[in-house]
Amino acid sequence: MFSELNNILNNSPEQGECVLLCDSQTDGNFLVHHFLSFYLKGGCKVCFLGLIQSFSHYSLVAQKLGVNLPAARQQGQLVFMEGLRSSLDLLLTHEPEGTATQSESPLQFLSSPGADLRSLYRFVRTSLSPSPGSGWKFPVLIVDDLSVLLSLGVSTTNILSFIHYCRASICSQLQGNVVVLAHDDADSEDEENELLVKSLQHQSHLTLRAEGLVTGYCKDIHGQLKITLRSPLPGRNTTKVFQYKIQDKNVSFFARGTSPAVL
Amino acid sequence: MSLAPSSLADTLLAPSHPPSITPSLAPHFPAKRPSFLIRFTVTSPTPSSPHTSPPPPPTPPTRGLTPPLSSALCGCGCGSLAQSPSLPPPRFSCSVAVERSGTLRCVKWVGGWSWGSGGSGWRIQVVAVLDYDLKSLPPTPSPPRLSFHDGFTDPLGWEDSAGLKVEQVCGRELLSLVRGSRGEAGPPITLALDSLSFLLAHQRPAAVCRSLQELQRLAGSSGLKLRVLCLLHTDLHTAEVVRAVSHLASSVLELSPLPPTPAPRGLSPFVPTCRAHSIHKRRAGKAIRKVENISVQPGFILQSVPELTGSQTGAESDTSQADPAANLTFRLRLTEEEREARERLSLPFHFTTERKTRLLRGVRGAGQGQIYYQPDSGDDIDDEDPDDDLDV
Amino acid sequence: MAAPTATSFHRRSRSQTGGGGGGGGGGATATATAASLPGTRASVHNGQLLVSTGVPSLDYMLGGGLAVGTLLLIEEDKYESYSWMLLKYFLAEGVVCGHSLYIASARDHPEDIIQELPAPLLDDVAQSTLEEESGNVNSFATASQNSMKIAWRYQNLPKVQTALVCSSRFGHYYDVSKTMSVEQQHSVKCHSFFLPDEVPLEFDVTKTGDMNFGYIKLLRSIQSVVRKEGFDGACPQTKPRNILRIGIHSLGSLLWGEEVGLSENPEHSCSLTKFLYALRGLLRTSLSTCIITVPGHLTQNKVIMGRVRKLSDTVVGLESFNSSERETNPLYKDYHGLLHIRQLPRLNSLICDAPDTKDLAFKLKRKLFTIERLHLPPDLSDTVSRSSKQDLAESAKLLSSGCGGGARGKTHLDF
Repeated sequence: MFSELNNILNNSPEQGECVLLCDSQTDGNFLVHHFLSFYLKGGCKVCFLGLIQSFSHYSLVAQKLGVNLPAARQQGQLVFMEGLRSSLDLLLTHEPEGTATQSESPLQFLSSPGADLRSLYRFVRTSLSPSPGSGWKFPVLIVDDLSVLLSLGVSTTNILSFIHYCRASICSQLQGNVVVLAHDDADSEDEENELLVKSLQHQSHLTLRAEGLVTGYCKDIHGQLKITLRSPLPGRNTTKVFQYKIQDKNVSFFARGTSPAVL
Repeated sequence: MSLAPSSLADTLLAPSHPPSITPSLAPHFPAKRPSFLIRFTVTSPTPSSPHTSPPPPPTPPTRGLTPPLSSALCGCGCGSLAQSPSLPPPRFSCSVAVERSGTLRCVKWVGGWSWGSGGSGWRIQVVAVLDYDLKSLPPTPSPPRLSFHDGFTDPLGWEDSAGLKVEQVCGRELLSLVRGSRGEAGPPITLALDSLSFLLAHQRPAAVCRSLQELQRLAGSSGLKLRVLCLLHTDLHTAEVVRAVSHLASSVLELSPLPPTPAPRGLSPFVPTCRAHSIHKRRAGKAIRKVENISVQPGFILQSVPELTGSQTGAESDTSQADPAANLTFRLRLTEEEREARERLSLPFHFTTERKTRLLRGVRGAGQGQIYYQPDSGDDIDDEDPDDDLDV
Repeated sequence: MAAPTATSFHRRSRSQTGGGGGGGGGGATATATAASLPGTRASVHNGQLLVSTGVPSLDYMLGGGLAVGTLLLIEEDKYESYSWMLLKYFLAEGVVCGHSLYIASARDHPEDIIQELPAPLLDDVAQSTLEEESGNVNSFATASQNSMKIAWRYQNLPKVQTALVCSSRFGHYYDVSKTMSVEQQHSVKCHSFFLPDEVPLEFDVTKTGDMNFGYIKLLRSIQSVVRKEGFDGACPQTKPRNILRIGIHSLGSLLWGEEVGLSENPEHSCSLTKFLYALRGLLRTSLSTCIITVPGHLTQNKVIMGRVRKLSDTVVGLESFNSSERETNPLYKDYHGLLHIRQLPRLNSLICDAPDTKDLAFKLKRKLFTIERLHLPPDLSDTVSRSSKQDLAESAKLLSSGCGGGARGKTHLDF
């Protein structure tokens, strides 16, 4: 976890809240690493849906941030679903809708077109259901990332239903958190993706948005982070803007215009 | 024009006694304080206070979005409680805690507010809230006229729980839901749908609207006065869908955020945060449109003020045209004498009319002022192509 | 030029760090050191296992090379003049390093592609390395003939100091005018996939299932090659481990049966992205790299390209001048086209090796494919005409690119 980002976020997100991470014209994966190490260090039970990268990628980065992913996985604190490994066979087999499958993999939707994400939800539910005597704090679901499901042919409605059910069970019942990463390029004209991001924005309490700089590419400032916290009263959302620079083991955040390269 | 909220609303909304959370609510929020609270107190009215009753809600029961806020604000009066003997004893305070909600989530508090605001008889109504977007946590003891129905936990049947599924949403089901929430006959019912966007995402718009219409018809035929309140997130739907659904509503309230303005120096710091544009369609006659700037204060007080025109906000500059020729060190104007003198001045080659006519009449062929003109290509003005650059 | 200093720097550091860079590339299960696998080396920055793309200047721009287990996507230029060259460079590099090849194409038969591979400039390299390694000993013979009066300290250096001096182990140069010798072509194992052979015309390519059948067959073929030849580490240590280089030509064109982007709701709109996802899974779990070229008409479709880019690791776009009015623009007379680096991967770390600048232009010469920083030529025109200044401003505007893409604002800041 990045200590500066922790200070900025202060006490949010609280328990039972949904966090949306989105990026536009840049790569927001550092936020996923932050939350993964943050929750693991905090002693929460984490279910991580790694749909776009392999496990070793996350474990190598987490090592630099001071968290041991293989050990956490072994102890049962971390349930890691690696999408890339199991996807190939499922994509190559084709099953028409309605056939009953004996073994249901969480990625069963890959083999039947237009399927919903029920099996994925059940996987999340069983991995985060509280087991007695484990001693972990509240459960957390981290999804990296949601936009890739659109590329795999899942409709926006099905993705939103999946997130809805995750929120219903994890946020409301189990008082845990849900952290979701979605890409949001403003000029990409991808209507499905835009609809997905807008719906998620309505449902989440905290939004962190990593954007590229308006003025172009810069080696010292890698981008800008907008943090939006929703308030129950209309029109009173608080927004904070920071700029950041990504280093090898840390990401430094600073107020706009106060980059050490500039001052 | 005053920036303070209307006083009538003030007396009604602000609890006369400091509000308190009943202790039984505390265990529901162990880790954090309730983030969103609706509080209202029904005070016992003095018998002498006038009963300002607004016109009754239009019949047949309107379906659609919330009535204009302004009429809701000033339309509730302290009525005599004698009208409905079944009221609980006065001065009960009830707190309804709702989970933290989003920016444009006016439905819940408007619905709850319009319920609680009136102690008057005609205004007492039952509110049933059907949740899809966020889960409400109903307090205990549950207030008599407010009920929450959970569509949030399992709308698609993945958990195989008993509850209202999205496919099952139709007029009959909703009616039984609504009926079950009220005990006795009489008061009108408001069904608040949070949110309609969720239903539209899972069913076709036509199917959703027809179910609501069926609900209205069934309610009307069984003597219920029903009003339906729906929340729609317009950025999740195409403009055509939004227009089509709004067309079917008898009242539409559009909320849009206002850019943050600095707090005006005035009596009370009322900084409007939302712009509410309400359209109330009447069956006969034209629609009533009102634009207000509203703000919801913590402690849940709704403040609204009609939209101010530009010159009164104080943030805009003076629009009167300054006369550029004033306040100069030299004089640019003419006095009267100077103007007359100028007009009297005769310029060289400024012929008198006699001379003009003489010349025009003039000697034929004298050569003195004859103009011989042959029209050329410059005179060929085409009205359709004045610049002569169309490529035909 | 940037290239020679880059290669010399890497050579020095490579000798320092040796082969111990460790770390499997991109999540590959095997932790291979550079010494055991031919034609690879460890990245200077994070120990990632790298192979050369065949173009040393492109290697430099990508941070040393192409990481094993990743995918390089090339957005083709309009008339496909240069992306075709890049693909051939990649395959030729595989031949020279001794890697296995896998060529998939729907247009040209892989056999023809192999015969067109450019010949490597091994002789020059060998000669120059000989000269270097021999040091001062052999140069005494030449020194007496070329004794310099003033710059005599330099007379021992090899005479022709060109960019072609490089290590013989990583990154080679090729002569485009000659093709590779036949025995060299057949010195490595080459697997091929030619779509018209695999999926006959009568068979409806888009019939089976949800995904394009051509893609399904290609995936199955790659998977079987990877498993059989042991690139995924599943086989016991019977044979020495090697890298598999996969080159797929013009994926997404009509010849593959792909109709995405042509109509509003095509039938198999997600075939291409599903294919890329499955391929990504394959690459991450094996010792292989892949280059895919994507046709020009698809790159105009922002929706598809957005998704495709997110599923690839490194994305590079080529824009050649012979297809646009820029050919006559005096700005670009030294170059053949622009190179846009659209995306660089962050593999196993938070940072990526971003280049200093994103204004890059390329030039294809007979023996060299250079990629340089685009320098505006000096304004030596006699008349300071308004039109030329406007052209400069226009082109300069098009050059600047944002952190991940183009500058978002319309206002262009000049610093």
